[in-house]
Amino acid sequence: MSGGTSKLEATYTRALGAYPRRWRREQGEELIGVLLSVARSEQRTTATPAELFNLVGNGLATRGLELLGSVGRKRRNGLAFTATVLATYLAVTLTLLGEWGPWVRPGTLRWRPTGEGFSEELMAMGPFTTAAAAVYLALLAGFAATLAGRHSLRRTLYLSAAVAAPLIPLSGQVAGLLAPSLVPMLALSALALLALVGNPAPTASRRMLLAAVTAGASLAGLALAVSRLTGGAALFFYDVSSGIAVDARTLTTAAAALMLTVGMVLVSGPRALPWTAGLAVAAVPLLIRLWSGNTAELLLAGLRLPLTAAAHWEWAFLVLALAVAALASGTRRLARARGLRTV
Amino acid sequence: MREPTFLVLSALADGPKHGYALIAETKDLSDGRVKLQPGTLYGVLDRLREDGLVEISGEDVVDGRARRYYRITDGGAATLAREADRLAANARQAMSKLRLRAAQAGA
Repeated sequence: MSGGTSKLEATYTRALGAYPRRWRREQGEELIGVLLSVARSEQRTTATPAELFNLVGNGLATRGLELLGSVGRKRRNGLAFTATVLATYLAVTLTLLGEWGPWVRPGTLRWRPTGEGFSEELMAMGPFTTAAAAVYLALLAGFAATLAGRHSLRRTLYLSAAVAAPLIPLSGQVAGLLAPSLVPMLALSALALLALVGNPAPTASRRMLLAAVTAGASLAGLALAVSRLTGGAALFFYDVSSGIAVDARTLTTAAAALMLTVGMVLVSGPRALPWTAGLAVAAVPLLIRLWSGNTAELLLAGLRLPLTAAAHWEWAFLVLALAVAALASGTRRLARARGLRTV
Repeated sequence: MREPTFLVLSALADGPKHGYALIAETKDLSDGRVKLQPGTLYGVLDRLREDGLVEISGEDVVDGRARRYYRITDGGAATLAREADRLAANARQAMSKLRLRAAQAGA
C-alpha cells in the first residue's frame, strides 16, 4: 500500500467516525474500499471536501435513524401524534393572536403587536404582521396533508417549516422588520421535525382521533389565551422581554414542555418507565403554570382551601409522583423475583 | 421514489453488483448526470435493505478487504416495475401535450 493511499484511507476512516460503531463494524471496511476505488478511478490521492461532507452527513443521519429505530414504531407514531397536535395548535393560536386577528391589525386594534422601537411601517407582510405567518401556514397545510394521507406533501411542508422557522428572526434582524424572537421559532422547528419521526395517523380511525384532539386542543388553547388577554391595555405579542402572561414565548415554551414530558414517557424503556412517568406527574404543576399563568392559583383560592395547601399544591404532586414511581418500580421487581423463583 | 433509489434498483435489475459497480452503473444509466457519492449509495442501500427491496447476495475479498454483492428481491423488482410504469405514463402524457403544443404553434 502506497503512502498516499494509506493517508487517504486514514482520512476516510476518520470521517467514518460519524457513523455508529455497529454500522462501522459491519460495513465500514466495505465503504472505505469503495471510496478508495472511486479515488483510484479519478487518480486522486486526497479526499474531496464534497466527499467528506457527504460521509459525515450520512453518518450523522445513520446515527439519528439508529436512535429512532431503537424506539418502536408505535411509540414514534405517538411522538409524531403529540408533535402534530401541538404544532397545529400553536400555528392556529399564533396566526390569530400574533398575525391576523383584528386585534393586531393597524387601525382596528384594541391590542397591538407594536412595541418600543417598532412602528406599523415595519409590518410589511401584507395581511400578516410578520413573515412567520408563512411558517404557521406551512404547519397548517402540513396538518391538512396528514389528514389527507399525503405523506410526501406532509414531509415537504413540515421540513420547510422546520428550516424556515429559525431563519425568520434572523432575517427580521437583517432587514429591520418585526419578527418573532428565536426561542418560539426554534420550538416550532423542533415540533415540526418531531412530527416526522413517525406516522401520526396510520389508520382512518387515528386520523379521526388526530382531527378531534387537534381541534379540541386548538379551540381550548385559543379560548384560554384570548380570555387571559381580555382587559390588557396593549399587547406586543412577539416582544422578547414582554412581561405579559400570554405571548409567543410563553405559549411555545408551554407546548415544548408538554412535548418534552410526553416524549420522555414515550421513549422510556420498561425499566425507566415508572421513574419517567413519576417525573411527568411531577411536571404537571409546571405545565399548568406555564399554560394558564396564575389561573390555577385563582381557582384554588376560590375553593377556599387552607392557605398552605393552596400555596404549595405542587408539592402534593411531587410526593404523589415519587410514591407512584417507587410503588411501580417495587411491584415490577417483586413480580420479577417471583417469576425467577417459579422457574 | 427518489432518483438515486430508482437508479440503484434499476442497476440491480439485471444481476447482483458490488458498491463500486453500482456507482459506475448508476452514472451510466443517467448518462453521467447522477454521480452517487459512496456515502449516499450506502444510505440508499441501507433503506432498501430495511424495506426488503434489496438483499446481500454474496461476499468476496479484494485487496484484503471484504466486498459485498447486492441483489434486488422479488418485492424490489415489483416496486421498480410500478415506478417505471408510473414514470413512463407521465412521460407519455408530457409528450402528448408537447405534440399538441407543437401542432397549435404550426396551425
